[in-house]
Amino acid sequence: MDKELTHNEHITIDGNDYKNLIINAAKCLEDNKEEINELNVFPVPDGDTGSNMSMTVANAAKELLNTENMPLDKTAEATAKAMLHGARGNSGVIVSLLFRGIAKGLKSSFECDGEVWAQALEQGVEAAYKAVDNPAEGTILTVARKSAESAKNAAQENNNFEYVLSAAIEAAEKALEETVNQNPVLSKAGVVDAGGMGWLLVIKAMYQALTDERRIKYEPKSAVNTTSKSPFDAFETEDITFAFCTEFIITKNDPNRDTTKLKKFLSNMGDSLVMIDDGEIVKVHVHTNDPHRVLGEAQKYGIYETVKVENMRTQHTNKLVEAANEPEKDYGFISVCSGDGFVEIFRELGVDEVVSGGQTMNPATEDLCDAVSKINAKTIYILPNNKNIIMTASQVADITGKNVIVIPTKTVPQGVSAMLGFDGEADEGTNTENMQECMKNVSTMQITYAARNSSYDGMDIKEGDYLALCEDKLLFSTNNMNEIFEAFANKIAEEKKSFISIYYGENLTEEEAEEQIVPLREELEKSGAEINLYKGNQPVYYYIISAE
Amino acid sequence: MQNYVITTCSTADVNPEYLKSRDVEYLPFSFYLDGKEYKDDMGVTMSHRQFYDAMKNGASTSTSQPNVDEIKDFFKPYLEDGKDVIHLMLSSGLSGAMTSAKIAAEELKEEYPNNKVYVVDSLGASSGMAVLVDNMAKLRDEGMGIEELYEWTEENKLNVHHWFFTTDLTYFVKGGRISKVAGWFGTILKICPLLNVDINGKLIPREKIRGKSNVIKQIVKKMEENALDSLDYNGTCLISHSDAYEDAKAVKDIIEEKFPNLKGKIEINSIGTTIGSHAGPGTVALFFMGKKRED
Repeated sequence: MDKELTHNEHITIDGNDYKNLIINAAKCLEDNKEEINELNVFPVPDGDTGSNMSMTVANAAKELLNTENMPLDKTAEATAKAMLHGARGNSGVIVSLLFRGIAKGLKSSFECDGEVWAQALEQGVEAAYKAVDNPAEGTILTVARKSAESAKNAAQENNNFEYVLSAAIEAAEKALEETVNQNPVLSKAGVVDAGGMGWLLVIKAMYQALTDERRIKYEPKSAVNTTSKSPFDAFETEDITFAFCTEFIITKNDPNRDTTKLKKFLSNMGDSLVMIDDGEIVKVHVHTNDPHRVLGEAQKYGIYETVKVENMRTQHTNKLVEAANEPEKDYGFISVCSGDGFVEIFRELGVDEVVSGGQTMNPATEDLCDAVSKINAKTIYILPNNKNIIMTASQVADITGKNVIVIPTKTVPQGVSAMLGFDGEADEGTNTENMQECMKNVSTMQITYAARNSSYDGMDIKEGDYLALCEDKLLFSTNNMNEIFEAFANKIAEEKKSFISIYYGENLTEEEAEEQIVPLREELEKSGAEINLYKGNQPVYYYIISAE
Repeated sequence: MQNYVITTCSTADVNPEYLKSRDVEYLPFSFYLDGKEYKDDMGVTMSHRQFYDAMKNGASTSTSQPNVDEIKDFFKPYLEDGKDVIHLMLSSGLSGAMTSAKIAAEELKEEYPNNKVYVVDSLGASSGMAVLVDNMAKLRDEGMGIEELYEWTEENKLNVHHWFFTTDLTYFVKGGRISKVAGWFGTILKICPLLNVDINGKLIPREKIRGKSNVIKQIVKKMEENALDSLDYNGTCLISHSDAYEDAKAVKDIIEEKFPNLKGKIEINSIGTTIGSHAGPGTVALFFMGKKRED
């Protein structure tokens, strides 16, 4: 590729360059996420690809903004780690895996030239493919792979970082255009793959950061519409000045000894000081960076009864200590859902931690890791209850190092059924098998609305129409909800299901729901099915119906 | 007339008139309702309806098993009379009364060296004990001696099947009769756990069934699978319930339809105050003779 380079050409990049590339990628995704969201052909209000990728990369940018003059390999590692923790949605997980592979490729490098970059990209693609069970063509994976292949060839021609990156971009553009033909759903809608588009934007933004003389300003924005905490909120709470939470109890040598001086000393050593002196004992809680000095000083007043020092920066460890106060259980459970009705149902079924999320907001890997750290159990089951959260959940075992098993539930009713398949007396293998089996016995039907005008799978869908979904497939759209109930009734009768649970959403009252489902109830009761109406209080879905 | 008496506990959950008619005496347990102690006289002093209404209104309940002296006092009159005693005790998996009864029997053997005292750990409860008692009384009336009857009871006690369901396991857990395990609780979802009594006489949740009509079908299915001679079963079949007559009746109706020999022969009893304290309202239990319990 012959290109006139008008700026200072980057033959290699270092840690600071890499930092800028990532920050610009985050900025670019933030600016263009709506455009990527629009590519989502599925008209269901969705955990959107653009938002998910943006939040994932933003997590890394936010981390890097805190660093200065870090070597390249460390910068790449920090990037990968932050993305892994902040990954949301399948596209976010894949991006994080791409950068994880890249970090592996940049290991022990202070500089990266074209060849090293090509190898890094290749490792990224390898890492991403490995993590996806059935890699499909016409997705972000294809775009990343083809662009890495092209980078490899380019590196043989010219070992210049910029040259190789531009070759990667060119190939990614081409590959992205082809995605429309590779995936039947995309070709019907006539659009390119949203995740692929995201990846193209990422590497384009990286190139732009190299070549644009203007310093790119990036201000992390709060994520939109978050039902769980955004990475930036997390950042603020973790902005800890004093790292060690230090607690101890001392039995005083002399009950009459005044401890005012100790208190003054401690207040200069950190913050969050709480000190109680009841004459016999002194109890202290303080956050400090120098627990050693704190303890040394306090020892002058008496004998230690207990001492506890925790590094609050390693938040997970900290929480583990709290969790460790309870005896270890054999099994713990995490379920992802929204709607307080569902939360209550899962709690009653014995789920320890309910992570808020679902269709409108996919939780980050970190949210799930946090939940894991709050549970003290030998085996922890995660019920993602959404197909776009399964991959995120499957990263958790690696990150936490705990025995985490993901039951790949794609809908909330599948999660409920999986939970019912659990038996506290059975061993882990049996339980995993039973839960997976139970999950399969339930059919899920859902009613939501079209978030936008769309042409999907040959259907013309108007914004605001009711959408009938079966499992995660769109059956049809209509402006008459009774049509949907009728179709569901037929389907349930066909499948000879006898136990129907209807969960109504947040915008409905029980009376309204009871009235609306009359046609469905009448139809189903003919065949002797048992119908129960429950408050799910879920957003987005008017009704979630399960048939067993 | 045999020179021995068959006795059981007030936890046998059967009409006391019936016990009287079969010449079976019972050892009363005690229960507490809002801190006040009552003798469990099988619903005579306090009706079961009264008891469950109080429970539903939030009254606290607990139970108290008879101690060694009470058990000895219960046996003594028969021994004084020169009779031997065979006693069927509530499962050792559910109550410590069996331990006390064993000690009582040992001591009584020394005090009454000429009399026999047999205590059988029923490894069962509620009308499941009544199923055994019913058969024991029959064998006694047919002339079986106490020793042989003791052997028969030991040999056959695990053939009594106890299957039961409830709409809420909370009382069982509160009473410590089962441990709280994930996935078994779902009153919102109308989950009806199906339980049975295992080989050690303990209550074991076996299946989670969604909805009452399904659990009623499933409990009958358990009987089809386990009853002696399957659908030709012709032995004792009892149902007990705690303030859930309609559900008990529904189970009875399906069984009578499926098991031709049982038509008109199934008794429905009320679960008494001792078992009821731990089961709470809403439990339906089914008892019959079947193949030996395996787990």
